[in-house]
Amino acid sequence: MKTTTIIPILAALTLAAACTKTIEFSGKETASLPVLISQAEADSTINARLTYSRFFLDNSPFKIIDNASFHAELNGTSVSPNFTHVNQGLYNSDLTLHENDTLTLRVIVPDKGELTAGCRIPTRPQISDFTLTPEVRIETYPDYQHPEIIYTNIEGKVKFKFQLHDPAGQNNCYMIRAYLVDAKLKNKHFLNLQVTDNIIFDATSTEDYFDLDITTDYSRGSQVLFTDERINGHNHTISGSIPYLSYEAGHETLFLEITSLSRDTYLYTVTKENQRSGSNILGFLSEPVRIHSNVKGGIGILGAKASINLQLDIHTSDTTTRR
Amino acid sequence: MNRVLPFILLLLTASLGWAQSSSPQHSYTVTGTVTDAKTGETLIGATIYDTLSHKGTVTNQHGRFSLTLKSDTAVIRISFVGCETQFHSIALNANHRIDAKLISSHTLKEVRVVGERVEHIESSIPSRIEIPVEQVKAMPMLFGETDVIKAIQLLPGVQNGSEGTAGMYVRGGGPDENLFLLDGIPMYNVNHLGGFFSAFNSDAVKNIQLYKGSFPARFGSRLSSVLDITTNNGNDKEYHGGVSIGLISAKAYVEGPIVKEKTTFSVSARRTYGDILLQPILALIMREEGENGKLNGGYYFYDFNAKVTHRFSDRSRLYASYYMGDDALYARFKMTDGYMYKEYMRFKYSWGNIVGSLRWNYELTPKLFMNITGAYTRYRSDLAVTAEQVDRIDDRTQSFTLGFKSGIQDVMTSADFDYTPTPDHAVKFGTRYTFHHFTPKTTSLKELDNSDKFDTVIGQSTVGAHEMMAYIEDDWRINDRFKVNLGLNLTGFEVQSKFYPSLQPRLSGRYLINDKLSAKVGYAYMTQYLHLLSTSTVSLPTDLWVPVTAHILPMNAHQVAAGLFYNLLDSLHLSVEGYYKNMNNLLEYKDGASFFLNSQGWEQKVCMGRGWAYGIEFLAQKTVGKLTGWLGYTWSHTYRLFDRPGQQLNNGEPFPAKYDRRHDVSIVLTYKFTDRFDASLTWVFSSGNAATLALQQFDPTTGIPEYGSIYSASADFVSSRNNYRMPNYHRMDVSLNWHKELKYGRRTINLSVYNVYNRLNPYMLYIDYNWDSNRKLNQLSIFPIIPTVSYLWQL
Repeated sequence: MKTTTIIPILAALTLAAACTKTIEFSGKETASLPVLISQAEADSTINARLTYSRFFLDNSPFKIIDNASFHAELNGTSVSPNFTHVNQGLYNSDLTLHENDTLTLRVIVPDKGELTAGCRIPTRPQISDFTLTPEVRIETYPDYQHPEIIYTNIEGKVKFKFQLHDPAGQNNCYMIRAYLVDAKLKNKHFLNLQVTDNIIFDATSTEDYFDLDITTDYSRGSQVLFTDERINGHNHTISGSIPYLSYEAGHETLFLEITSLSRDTYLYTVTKENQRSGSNILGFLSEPVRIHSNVKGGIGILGAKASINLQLDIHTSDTTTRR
Repeated sequence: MNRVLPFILLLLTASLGWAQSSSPQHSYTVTGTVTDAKTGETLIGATIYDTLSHKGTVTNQHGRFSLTLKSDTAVIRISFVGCETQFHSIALNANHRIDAKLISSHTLKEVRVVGERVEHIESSIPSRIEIPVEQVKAMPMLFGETDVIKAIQLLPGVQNGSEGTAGMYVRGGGPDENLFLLDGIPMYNVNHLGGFFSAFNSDAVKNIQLYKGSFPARFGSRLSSVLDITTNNGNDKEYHGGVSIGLISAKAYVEGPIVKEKTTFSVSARRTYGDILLQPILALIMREEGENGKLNGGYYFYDFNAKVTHRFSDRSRLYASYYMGDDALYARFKMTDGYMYKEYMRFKYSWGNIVGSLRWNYELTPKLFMNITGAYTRYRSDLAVTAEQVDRIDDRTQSFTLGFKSGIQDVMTSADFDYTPTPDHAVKFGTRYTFHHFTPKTTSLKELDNSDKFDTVIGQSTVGAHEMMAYIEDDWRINDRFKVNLGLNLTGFEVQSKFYPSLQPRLSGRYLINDKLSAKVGYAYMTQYLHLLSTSTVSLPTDLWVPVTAHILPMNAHQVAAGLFYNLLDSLHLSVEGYYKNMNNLLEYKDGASFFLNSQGWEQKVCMGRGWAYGIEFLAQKTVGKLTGWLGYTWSHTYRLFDRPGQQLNNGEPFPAKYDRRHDVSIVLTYKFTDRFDASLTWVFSSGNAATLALQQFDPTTGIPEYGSIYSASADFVSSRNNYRMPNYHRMDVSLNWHKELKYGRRTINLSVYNVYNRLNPYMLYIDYNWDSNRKLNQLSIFPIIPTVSYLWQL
C-alpha cells in the first residue's frame, strides 16, 4: 500500500481512536446469580444443571454449583427425588415424569438462597398421515489429482408431510427438528429443514442479513418453532423438506422429531435463538434480546417437552420409513 | 377525555354565544398589517393596543390584525420588540385601516432587543416558546453551520437524541411525535447528514415557535410538539443578499422586490462541498495504486428555499413557497484496460424532502380573514446500485441493478379563518384534508446477461390514507385577569377500509396575578396516525414512515401543564412549568427487532403499550441588553409499560424510556461587546441515556451433548430493558463574531469552537476485548473539540 493511501486511513483511524475510550462500569448489578437449566421430558428421568452466572466483564469460566439440594412437588404432592451431582454442575435424578405431570422444583443453593421453577409436561403431539419421502441422488466423481480414486456423494432432500391435530384451548407450542445419528459416536447431527406454511408462519426464511425476520414463529435453521395461535383446535397439514448431503455411501438413519413444548420452553428457545442471530454484523441496529426465564431467585429455565420421532433409513439402493 | 369534553363543549358554546351577543352595536373595526419599515417583512406577534379602551390584540402569522372598538376615538399603540413603537390617534366613525411600518432598532442604533415580551405574560397558552432567529444565528456553530433544531434542543423540556443528532424528544415523547411545519406545511425528515444538521437554513427563517403542550386546536396529528417555522417573504423595497463560507459548506441568499412593494422574492441555498474536496485525493489514490481507472465519491447535502409573495391589494396576498433538500452518499468506480475490458460500478443513496405550497390570504370582512392553502410534501429515500462488466474478448456484457425505495407523499388542502368579533375574542376555525401516499419499501432487482434476463420488483406495498381535520378555537379574554383558549379538533383517518375518528378537546387558561406575574394551566388531547420505524440507536435515512393499520391503533396522549410566568425588570422572563403526560398505543420494537432497510412484516416486530412522563421545567430568558440568552433546567421522568397479552416487553413491568434523563441543564449566552464584536457561549449538561446492557452472562447448556452442540457456551442475561445509565453528557461551545462594514455590504468572520474542553461524550457503548481476551466496556464518541472558521458577507 502506498503512503498516500495509508495517510487518510491512518487519519480516519486516529480520529476514531480519539473518540473511543474504555470506561468504568458504574452500575450496581455485579453479583453472580444461580442458573438452573433443566428440560424435563415425558417418560424420562429429569436432570438439571446448576451454575453461576458471571459479571459480563469477567472472562473466567462459569462456576458450577455442586452442593445444591433439591426438593420437588409432583402433581401437588411433595416427593423426595434423589438428585445426584454427576459432573460440571449436572445433576441426575431418579424422578421420572410423564405427560401432563406438573412439577415444581425447589433448589437450595448454599449462600445464595432458593431457586423455584415449575413446569407441566405437555402431551405428545397428535399426528396422522405422515410421510417421509427421500429424493436421493448419488453422484460419483474422480479425484482431481488421482482419477483412479472415485468419490461418492449422496445428495438430495427428504420431503415430509403430516397432519397435526391441535387440541383446543391449550396454548400449545411445537418444535420440529431433523437429525442423523452417527453410527459410531451415537451423536445427533442436526440438519437444516425448511417449512413453507403461510398459516403458521408469515414466511419461511433463509439467513439473510437484509431481511432478518424475527417474529414469534421461528422457521429457519435446524429447528422450526411455532405456536398454535393460528391453528388452535384444528387439524393442520404441515409439509417441508430436509436438504440432505452425505459424503459416504451406505446406510444412515434420519429422524424427524416433532415435539410439544411448554410455553416457557418455547419462549426460552426463541429468545435464545433471537439473541444469537441478533449478534450479527448489524446487531448494533437491533434491540437487545432478553432471554426468557421462569426461574425465581435466579435465572434459567425449567422446561418441559414431549416428542415423537419419525425414522427414515436411507440406503443407497433402498429406503424404508418407520415410526 | 370523556369528562373533559362536555366541559369544553359547554365553554366553547358559551364563549361563541357570548362573542355574538356582546358584539357592540355601534362598533368599528381597525384592521391592517404590521411590517418592518426597512424590509417590508410582515411582523408576527406585534401588539396592537388601544390606550383609551385598554383593548388589544396581536398580529397573526401573516402580520395581520383586527381590533373592533366601540368608542368614538382611539389611540392605537403598535409595538414589536426590537422596533420603535408607533401611536395612531384615530376617530372611530367608520372602519379604519392601519398598515404600520415599524422601524427596527437596528436602524435606530438602539440597544438590541429581540424576542417576545408581552406574550410571555399575556398569552393564555403555556408550554409555548418563541426563540428569536437572531439568537439562533448568534449561537456557536458546528462545522460553520447554525442550526435551528440544535437551538430548540437547548430549551427546557426538549432533549436531543444521541450526540449530534437532530432528533427531538419533547416531554417524554418519541422523535416521530413532533410536527415540523415549514410555512404551515408538514416536513417529515428534518435532518441532514444522519441528523448532524437540520434541514432548516437559518438564513431563510423569519419566526420560530415551539409548542410543547397545551396545543391550540388548529394543530393536530402529533403527540408531543409543534415546531412552527415561518420563512422570510423577501424585502419589498431593495435587494439584499449574503454569502457564507464555512468549513464544509457554503450558503447564499438573495431577496428583493420583483415589483416594488407589490411582488417580492426570497431565495436561499446551501451545499456542503466535502465531496468536491475529496475527489483529488481519490484520484491520487488511484494513481498511486497504479490502477487504470477512475474513482469518485463522497457525501453532500444541499437545500434550497424559494418564496414569492404578491400583494394584489391591502386585503389580498398570494404566497408561493418551495423547499427542496437532498442528502446523497455516492461512489462511482470505473476501470478499463483501454481495449478489451471495461467495468464500472455506481452507488448512490439519496434521501430528502420537497415541500411546495400556494397560499392565498384574503380579508373577507374587517373581522374575518381567510387563508386558503394547497400544498405538496414528499420525503423519500432511494438506494441504487449498478454494476456492469463488458468483456469484448468473449463478447459478453453483464449488468446488475439493485434498488431500494421508500417514502411518503402528501397532497393537502386547507381553509383557515380568523374571526375577531370583539377585542375579547379571537376565533380561529378551519378544515384540512390530506391524502397520504406511503411507500414503506420497494426493492427492485435487475440482472442482464447476454442470454439471461432477470427483472423484478419485490416488496412493493404502497398504502394510501385519507386524513381529515376540522377545528375551532377561541382565545377569549373573560376579563382583565382571566383569559382562556378553548377549542375542539375533530380528525378522521381512513386507511385500508378502516376509519379512525378522534375528537380532541383543548383547553388552556391564564390568570394575571399582577402586571408582572401570571399563572397558566393547559390540557390537550392529541391523536397521531403515523409512526416512524427507525433503528433504536442511530438516526438513519432508512427510517420509514408507516400509517396506523387495522391492527396498529392510533397513538394518543393526554397532557396537563401548569406554570408561573414572571417578568423581571421587563428584560428577564422567568417561568416554571410542570407537566404530566399520559400516552397510549405507543410502539416499541420487540427484542431483537431491526428495521434496517426493511419494513416487511413490521407489524409483527412491534409491541403496543403505554407510557407516561412528568417533569418540571425552569426557564430564565433575557432578551434585552448587551447580554442575552437563557438558562434552562428540566427535571423529568419518562416510563414505558408494555403489558398487553402477547405484546409484553420487560416481563410486562415498567421500564425507563431510552431518553429518560433526570436532569437537563442548558445555558445560552450572547454578549455584544461593540457593534463590531460579539461572542456567545453555550453549555449543556444532561443525565446519561438509558441503555440496555447484559450485565450477566450464563451458560445455557444442559450439560447433555444434544443441547450444547448448536449454541455458544455463553448467553447474555438482560435483567430489564434500559437497565443501565450511560455517562452524563456535558459540553461547552463558544463563538466569536467580528463584523465590519464594507464599502459594499457587511462582512462577518466567525470563529466557533465546538466542545471546547474536548469532553468525549457517549454516543454508544459496546463490548470490546483486550489483548488478553478479557472483555471491556468501550464508549464511542462522535465529536471531539472542533474549531471552525466561517466568512459571511451580506449586502
